[in-house]
Amino acid sequence: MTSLKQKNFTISLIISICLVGLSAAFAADFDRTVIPRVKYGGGGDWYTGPTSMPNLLKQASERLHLPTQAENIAVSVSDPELFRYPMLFLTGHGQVRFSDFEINTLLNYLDNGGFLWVNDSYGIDRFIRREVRRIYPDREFELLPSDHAIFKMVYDFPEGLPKIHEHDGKPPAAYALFDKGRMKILYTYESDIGDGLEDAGIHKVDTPEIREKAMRMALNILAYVMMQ
Amino acid sequence: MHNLLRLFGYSLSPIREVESSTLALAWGWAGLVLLLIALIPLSWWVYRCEGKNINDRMRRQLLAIRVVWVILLAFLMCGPVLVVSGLVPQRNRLAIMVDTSRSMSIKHKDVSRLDQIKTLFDSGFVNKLESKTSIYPEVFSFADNVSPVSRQEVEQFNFSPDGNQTDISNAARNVIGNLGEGSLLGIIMISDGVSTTGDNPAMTLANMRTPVHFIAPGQEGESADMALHLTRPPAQGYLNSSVRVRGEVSLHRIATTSVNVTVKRNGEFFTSAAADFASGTEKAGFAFNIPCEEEGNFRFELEIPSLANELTNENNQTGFLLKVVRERLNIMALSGRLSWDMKFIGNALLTDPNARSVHWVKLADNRWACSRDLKPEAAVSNPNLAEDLKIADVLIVYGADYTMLKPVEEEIVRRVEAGTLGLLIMPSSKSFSELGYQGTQFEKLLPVITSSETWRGTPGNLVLPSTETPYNFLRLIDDPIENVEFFATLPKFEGIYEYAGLKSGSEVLINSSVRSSSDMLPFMIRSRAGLGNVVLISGGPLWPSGFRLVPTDRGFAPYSALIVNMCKWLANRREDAQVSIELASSRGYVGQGNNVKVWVMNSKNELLANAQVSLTISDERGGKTTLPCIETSDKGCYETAFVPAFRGLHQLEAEARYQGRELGRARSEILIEMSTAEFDEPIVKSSLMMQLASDTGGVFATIDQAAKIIDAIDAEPGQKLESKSIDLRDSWLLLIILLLLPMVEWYLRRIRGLS
Repeated sequence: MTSLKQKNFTISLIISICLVGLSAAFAADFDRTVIPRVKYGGGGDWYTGPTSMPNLLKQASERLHLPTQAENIAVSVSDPELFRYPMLFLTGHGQVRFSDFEINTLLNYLDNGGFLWVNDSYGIDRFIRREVRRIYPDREFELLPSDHAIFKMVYDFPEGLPKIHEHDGKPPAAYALFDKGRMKILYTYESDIGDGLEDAGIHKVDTPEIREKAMRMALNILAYVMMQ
Repeated sequence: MHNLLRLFGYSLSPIREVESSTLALAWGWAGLVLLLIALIPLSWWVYRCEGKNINDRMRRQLLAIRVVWVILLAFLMCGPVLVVSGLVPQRNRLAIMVDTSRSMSIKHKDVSRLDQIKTLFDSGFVNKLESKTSIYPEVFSFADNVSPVSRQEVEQFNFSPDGNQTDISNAARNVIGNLGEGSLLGIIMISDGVSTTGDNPAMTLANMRTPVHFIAPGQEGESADMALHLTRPPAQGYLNSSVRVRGEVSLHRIATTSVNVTVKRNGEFFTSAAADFASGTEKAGFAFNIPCEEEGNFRFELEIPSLANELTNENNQTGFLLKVVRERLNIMALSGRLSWDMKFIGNALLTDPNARSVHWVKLADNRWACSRDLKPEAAVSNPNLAEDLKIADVLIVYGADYTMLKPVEEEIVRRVEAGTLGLLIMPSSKSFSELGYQGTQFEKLLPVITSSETWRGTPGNLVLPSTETPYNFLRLIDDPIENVEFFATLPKFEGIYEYAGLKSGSEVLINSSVRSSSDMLPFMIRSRAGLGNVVLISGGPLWPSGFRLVPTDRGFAPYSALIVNMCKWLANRREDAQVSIELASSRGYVGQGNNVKVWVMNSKNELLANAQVSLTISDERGGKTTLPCIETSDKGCYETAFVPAFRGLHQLEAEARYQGRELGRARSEILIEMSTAEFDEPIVKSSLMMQLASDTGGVFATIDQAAKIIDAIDAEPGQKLESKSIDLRDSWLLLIILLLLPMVEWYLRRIRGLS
């Protein structure tokens, strides 16, 4: 009799734990963050580093307790689904070009709370500056000083933007475009944080310490965007 | 049958003539058959066992007696009931109902509608009805209430058109409740048919068995009219912003393309607005803005031109009182983690130049990030939240666990209850029990019962109540129907928490279709905690309702308006005083009750019970009335009601004393207007009354055709069909038979030597 009672109790306990776990799992699905990469025209490789955003989102979930959907999703600016994503990631190595419609859509997107993070993998500088000038003709990129809040959010970066991947021996620089007091575009130049976010082994020169540095900076960027 | 039943001692009173009768058994007929099947063989077997020789005649006699006795016994055991129906005579009644609402003062060719009824009564209408039916009609007046009118008052025609509203349904129900529908020959309703409140009379009267006859004064469509209405006029404005006032002008038998609305502020010309009528329409809206450039109370009066042949000029003017207060909207947000909802709420708040925001987020243990006016600052550890809370008007809580709230919990509860801090609670991936709220002081502020919390991860739509919402922050579109539709078409949210229930006094502002469209779950719930406003949003995320609408025609503006206006409402700008007056509206009507609440706090800003509170009301004519305020079930809240007799600005002054010591005074104002509800549609509703009369088997007539009504009244003596149940066991004769039969059997057996 006692063993039957124990058995019933154990079954009830298991069911309760399953139910609690199930409800917790449902609750964790609330407002999951997705950061899609921008699928742009012009011929540049917008698809480079497919594991970078899933890795960032996984870490955001673990370290910042942010519900995320850690998938590599791409969206073009002309896609009506663009406004499902409050933050966009743009990376690549070459030519970037937006159509006039896309420029207007991006302007509307950024002016109403959206954010664009541009990661210079290499060789994107000339093109991205040209396209950003088309979006905000009367605004210029500003160099962020090392004491800017973006370097002191989740982790401290006293030296400013970290160097992740070496290209031309130039120092890394974080440029931001501000409009109406709000940062709307962040352009990480000569740093290539995107490379550092990729899976281990893809870039042999990226040691675990360098990859951790990239992840920490990316989390700082995400936290900054969600706070402004 | 009557005599037979009487012989057995059954009374049929008051039924005089039996129309029909039915015999029923409590055990049913099957019960009787089964009983007989059991008793008759038993009886026969007892005889067989006796084994005595008797002749056939004797056997038949004894058997017959025994069988009759057994059948009678079985029949009575089964509980026989005779249900008899028959006609019962009764006294007839006839009701006359006279409409005494203000619309009855409207004149047709210089004779008011009520005066037309007086002429009808003077012509002997009531006496003619009496001579035809041999009964004097019961006369009632009806408007806000229904009152019986004595014969003497009818003869003196003691009616005055002073009712502020007309409820035909309630009046008819009331009269039938008083007189009883079975005895009523009919109801004669003398009215213009303008029903301004209550249930739809077509629905109510259609369910009645009594014929309702209508007599209409005047004639439909014989006069022209022009009416001015305001759509929820604003009561409060904020300095250096503007408020929008909307209204409508309606026309009847007047052809024009535009009507000019003149607006006066404190008696001086302020602005004018035009109501432009599209071809073939009788209603046109108008709107104007009031820039709030200085603090204070402003009285606005609106007027449209009066025409010579209008039914009434009472509906050509209206007004409202606007209180302009200094803008201060400091929003503090406290989050347990980063979220897009909080980011977009911040973005929305910044669309208001007077809003200031500070958002604290706990990123990790001992690492907090803060953004002021959406400018993120370097992270800090263990910040002092009390400093920001001190100046906050609204606190937004997003997934903040109890350890974050604990250092400021007491201050939050105190300020919310004192009405100086509004509280907005947003949903997150953690339930309230996971956040550790259960059993805390903070939990007491929540508008829901948290003993059970279930996350339903099903997408759903927002559903506004179908009635027009009284909360301006939920009015994102001017037109109420379009507004409801707009909410329904917003992007779906991902899921919702379902709680054990709502706490007493909580109110659902927005529902959701997560469960089903007929059985909805609350999405936005409000409640009062002391003097403060609390809103809980139980589902989300909310931000797609703003951001995903950006590429559409609507844009981000409706979302911003919702957030900013909700925060302004939550802020509940009450003067930091120990005594404060709360009015349901800054506008009231002559003859209608106005509830006034007075909130009293002690020097520690704690709500105070057992205070002596009085309210002094001063009207523009210099009259003063002082009323005591009664303590309510809400601690610190005292209430009274006053019925203003005059229109104009009324000054209210509340005084609170505690143990003989004066605690403080509060002042407020209320603008009293004549209610125009009775004049909104002043036309005689002949077609409606015709339909109502037809639905009930009555007759419609104008005053000059009132003789038609007298002819239509059925004056036959009244009688009604009644049913009566008679328990057949309740008869002395049956009892005697039941006893007599065994005695006869015993006697027979005795004389034959059988026993």
